[in-house]
Amino acid sequence: MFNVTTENLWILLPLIPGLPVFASILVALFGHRLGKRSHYPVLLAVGGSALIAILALIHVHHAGNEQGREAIFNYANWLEAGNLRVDWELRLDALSAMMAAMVSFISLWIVLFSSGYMHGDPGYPRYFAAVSLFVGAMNILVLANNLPLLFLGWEGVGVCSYLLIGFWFAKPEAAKAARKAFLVTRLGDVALLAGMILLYRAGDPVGLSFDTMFSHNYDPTTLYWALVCLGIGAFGKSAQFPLHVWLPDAMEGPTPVSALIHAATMVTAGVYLLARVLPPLAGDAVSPAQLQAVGNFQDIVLVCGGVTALLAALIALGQTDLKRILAYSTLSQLGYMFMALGVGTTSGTTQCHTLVSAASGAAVFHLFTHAFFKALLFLSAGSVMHAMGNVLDLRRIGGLRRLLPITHIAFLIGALALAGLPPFSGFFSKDGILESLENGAHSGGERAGLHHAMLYLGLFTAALTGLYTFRAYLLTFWGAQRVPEEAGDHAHESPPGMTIPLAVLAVPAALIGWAVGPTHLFADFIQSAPGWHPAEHHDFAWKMAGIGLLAAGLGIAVAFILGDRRPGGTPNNLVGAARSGFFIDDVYSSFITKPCEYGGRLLNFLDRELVDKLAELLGRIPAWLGDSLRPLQNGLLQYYALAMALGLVVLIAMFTLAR
Amino acid sequence: MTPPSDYPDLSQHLLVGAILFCLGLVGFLARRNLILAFLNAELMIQGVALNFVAFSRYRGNLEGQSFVLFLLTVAACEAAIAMALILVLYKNRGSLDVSLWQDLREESLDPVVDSEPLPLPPAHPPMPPLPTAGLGPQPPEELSRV
Repeated sequence: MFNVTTENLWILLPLIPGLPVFASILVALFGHRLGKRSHYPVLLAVGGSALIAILALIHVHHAGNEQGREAIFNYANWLEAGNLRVDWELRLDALSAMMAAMVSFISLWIVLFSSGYMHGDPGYPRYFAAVSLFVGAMNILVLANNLPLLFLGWEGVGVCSYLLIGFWFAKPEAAKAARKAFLVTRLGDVALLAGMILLYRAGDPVGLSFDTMFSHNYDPTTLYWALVCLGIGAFGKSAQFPLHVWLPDAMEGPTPVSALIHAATMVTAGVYLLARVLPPLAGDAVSPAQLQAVGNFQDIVLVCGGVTALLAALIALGQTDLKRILAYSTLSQLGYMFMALGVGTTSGTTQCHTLVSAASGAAVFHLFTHAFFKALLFLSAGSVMHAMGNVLDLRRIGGLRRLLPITHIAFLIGALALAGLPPFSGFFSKDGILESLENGAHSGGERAGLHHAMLYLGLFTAALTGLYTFRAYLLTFWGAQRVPEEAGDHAHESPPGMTIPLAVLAVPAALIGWAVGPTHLFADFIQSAPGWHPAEHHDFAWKMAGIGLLAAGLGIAVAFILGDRRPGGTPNNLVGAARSGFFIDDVYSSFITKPCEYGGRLLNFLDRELVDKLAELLGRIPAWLGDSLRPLQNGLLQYYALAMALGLVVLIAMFTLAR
Repeated sequence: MTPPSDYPDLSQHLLVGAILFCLGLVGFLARRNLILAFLNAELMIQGVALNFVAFSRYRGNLEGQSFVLFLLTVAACEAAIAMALILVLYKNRGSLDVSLWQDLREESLDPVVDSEPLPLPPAHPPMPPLPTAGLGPQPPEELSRV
């Protein structure tokens, strides 16, 4: 029986990112021959990758506490400069095994869904090549054992997201959205690079390997700024306020791509990075000054996460497009994760380590469950879109529960999980985050007040989540049946290639929280990663869960009271503001984009009118010279002979006179 | 190298060569008839050849003379090719006027047109009447006007 063991792990581990990358190259090279069969290599590769990753996860889980929990393999030297040495190092521990399994598993079903959704698209091979590379890059990111290798995957994910968001590049909005996503995340990427350089300089000669970099005694100020830089990188990739503007626009890509970006890959990268770095840095060995630096950084994370969670939930209320509602809900849920990543205390190192480890575990748990139910929601939206002729405007569709029964059930499960109702997975993970916020608030110390504020904010957002999720659900599937004319008269349930992934993803979306939530299996597992504080067992916090449930139920109740009241007519000021994303895009537009554009226009004008004209002037001189000499070539034989004779005379004169 | 004393006439020979060359040059520049222009070119070549011979004698070696032999060979070949070309050109346009061929001028330039065209050649005198037994051979119409 094929199995992952300690002996064959070294050869199987690189296959997790390797297979999708290989399939991507294969499809890119031979896509014109594969044509409509382009998804087969990708399915096989991602399937193999998922199989290995899941087996590796099981292996890590079975390995017990000590040996085999962490495996690091160094394959080759990548680059070496001075005392900087970067290797192709992969790492398997609880966190990376969990991430890799989640990424590959969800991607597999998204690829299967895509093969039905993208059927007949002229860019079919291109799509699958990019998706496969996307999965490969994400797996490199989560399995890397040093920051530069992580950065490689990070950039690969960025490039692939650009390719996929702008997949229909002939559409101007899609091209614009792809550019926006690339530029905004690039802003974060530059910060991440700066953070890496700072860490390297400060940790010299420790290097940037995850197994050595945390044991160094960093200067607190440097540590703070390095963390801030890493944090900006994470904010950019995970679309946190104020770098969140790219994500809603990324809806211009094909819907499975939205599922891929929002659920399994890309946006999870920022959460993963901070979860990888923060718990070991807040470890037992740090000095109070360092703890203060980490705490100061976590304040930023906490506030940005909270602002994103609330803001995105409010914006989602004002949206009329199903996919955009889901996009803003992703922002909001990511905000939750960042809030959890911001939990900590400065009052004591052991206390802080326990808190940060538990909270980061909650963040990763929410990331894990969110990946399943958000992928399910997006694929359901894709199924709706497929049936409705690419219309997702809630003002034009409705009452689809009879038309799309499977999609309806799948969306309902996803919505219940997103809203956080038991026993669906979102309930447990969201509760974990609220609980860790509460623990942070009760930990004392100077950061407790902020935690209190964020706890209330999180509860309020939980209510909003229930409201906007069920508003979208009710408007889409209940009320009078409305089918836009774009759907034609053949509006029907999607083919099996699309409904099977829905059915498969619905199971973990519904149940996975139950399996690992109150039993603390997941927390035990994640917190067994090196550098994390082992989980402390305590009873399931029913009080916090009850309050969270109450909030969510309140939101859902409001949604049911509002019922089938469709947005229509001219929105009032508040709704209009929410619909336009609280004008954050406009702020960016008038303070960054527009000045840049005007500057660019000025430079363009100078270039065209000054530099180009000068160059043209220089270019004209030979032409003028040529024009003035042209009459010499008049084609008369004697004229040429005369020129030769005169030339001879001049030559002779020169020779004689020069003597 | 000092000039040998038994050959004092170098400058006179060179003078003759130069005169031949200049005559040829002037003729080449002034005449528009292709054959005459060609003949003038031959004249220039002979002027040069005379120079070679004179210097050969002056130096007392055979280099110049061997050059002249080559020169004559080349001139003969050149004459053959040139006459053949002239024949083709004549067949093409029916005239030997060199100014009829200006095709290598710049495209933007107008062809040079003679403001004062050459006088037409005098008409042939009428053929003498012949006995009725037959007609005399028609003389070929000479189209050259030069």
